[in-house]
Amino acid sequence: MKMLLINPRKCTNCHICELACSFKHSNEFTLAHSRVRTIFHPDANLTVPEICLQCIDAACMASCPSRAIFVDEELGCVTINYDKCVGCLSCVAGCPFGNMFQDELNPGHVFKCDLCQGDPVCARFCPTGALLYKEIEPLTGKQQMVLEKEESVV
Amino acid sequence: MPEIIIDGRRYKCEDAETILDVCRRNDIDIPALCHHEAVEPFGACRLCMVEISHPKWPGWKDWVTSCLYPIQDGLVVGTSTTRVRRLRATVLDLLLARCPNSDVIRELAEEYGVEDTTYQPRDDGDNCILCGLCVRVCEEVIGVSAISSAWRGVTKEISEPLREPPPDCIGCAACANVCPTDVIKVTQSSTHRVIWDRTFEMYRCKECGKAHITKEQRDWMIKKNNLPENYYDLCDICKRKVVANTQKNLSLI
Ligand code: FES
Repeated sequence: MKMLLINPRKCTNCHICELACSFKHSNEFTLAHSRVRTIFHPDANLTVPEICLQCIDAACMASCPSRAIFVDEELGCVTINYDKCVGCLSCVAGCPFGNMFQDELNPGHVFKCDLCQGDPVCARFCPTGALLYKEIEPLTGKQQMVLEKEESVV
Repeated sequence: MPEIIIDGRRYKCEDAETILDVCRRNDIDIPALCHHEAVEPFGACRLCMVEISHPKWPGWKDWVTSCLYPIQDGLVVGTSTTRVRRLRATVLDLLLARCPNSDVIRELAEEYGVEDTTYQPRDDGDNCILCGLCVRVCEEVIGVSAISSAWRGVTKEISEPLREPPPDCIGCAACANVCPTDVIKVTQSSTHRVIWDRTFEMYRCKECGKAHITKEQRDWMIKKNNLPENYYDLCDICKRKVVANTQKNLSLI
């Protein structure tokens, strides 16, 4: 299965992933619509891109009272069925990683990374490969972040 | 696998689907105000009427609500025959008399050639079409049953118990989100939410004060899902910061 890999050591804090994601999903370059957010740590001079980890037993899924969230087995993607969503925001509060978003302009609407239906633009436009979408052996557990120590950019 | 014919085309369906399910799945437009995937179909708005016939019932036709009608093999469905359009126009005529100020109803009515209602429009009152979707979502999805329909006939309304702020309500605003005509009013500030005349305090992030849910909703979810007391203490931004910090530390090893 293909997975979205995050490598903070390669991230240069250029925000291209956020802009690409926002444009893909809302035709606007607004960070508020982005499903990926980067967090800069000045102390370590390191930026960490935060994006949905597509947990197998996702907390958002468990907290949804209308069972509107399901795992798309083919894509390996935790997906929202908007026809079933009632907008109670249990998932936004429930995701322990903060990767479920509430639409600021439309408070009853939530969104999360949908892996762009199999071609995530954040990874496609990431110039350094901090976000990669590639075929990998299934990892043990839910761990998604791959630390490629020897490859780290100086 | 059963097959049905909709507007002259053949569609494969699953057992135990309704006509509306098949139409939705194949992008066939049927107006449906009281239907929501999260709850059982109810058949309140009567707008989803379609015409059905079957080769086994020669010379016989019927007009049914598609959201409630289970498919059967060989069914022939017409979604916009003259009669169906006329039935929907009648329903919209009545709905327009009930809610003359509702944009949703007005637009739909115009689509069916109803410019103005032929009945006496109600001049007081709200845009509620009494479809009961809010009541059903509160009961079936959220599971608190804070509101219900009250009275009968022309005086029927959706109401809190005794018209007082509902004691069981957790302020999740799901009812307001699903309401097809946007009747249920929610006022939101960063600290409080007012819905059904009851003021809820928001459960705010311990770090930054941002809030997603009310205190009552937080208590209810902790009880329902057996979560630790501090589960909802951070907002999404602060949770991301915590995770990013962990990832930073991992990257520095
Ligand atoms: S959607 Fe079928 S009656 Fe309202």
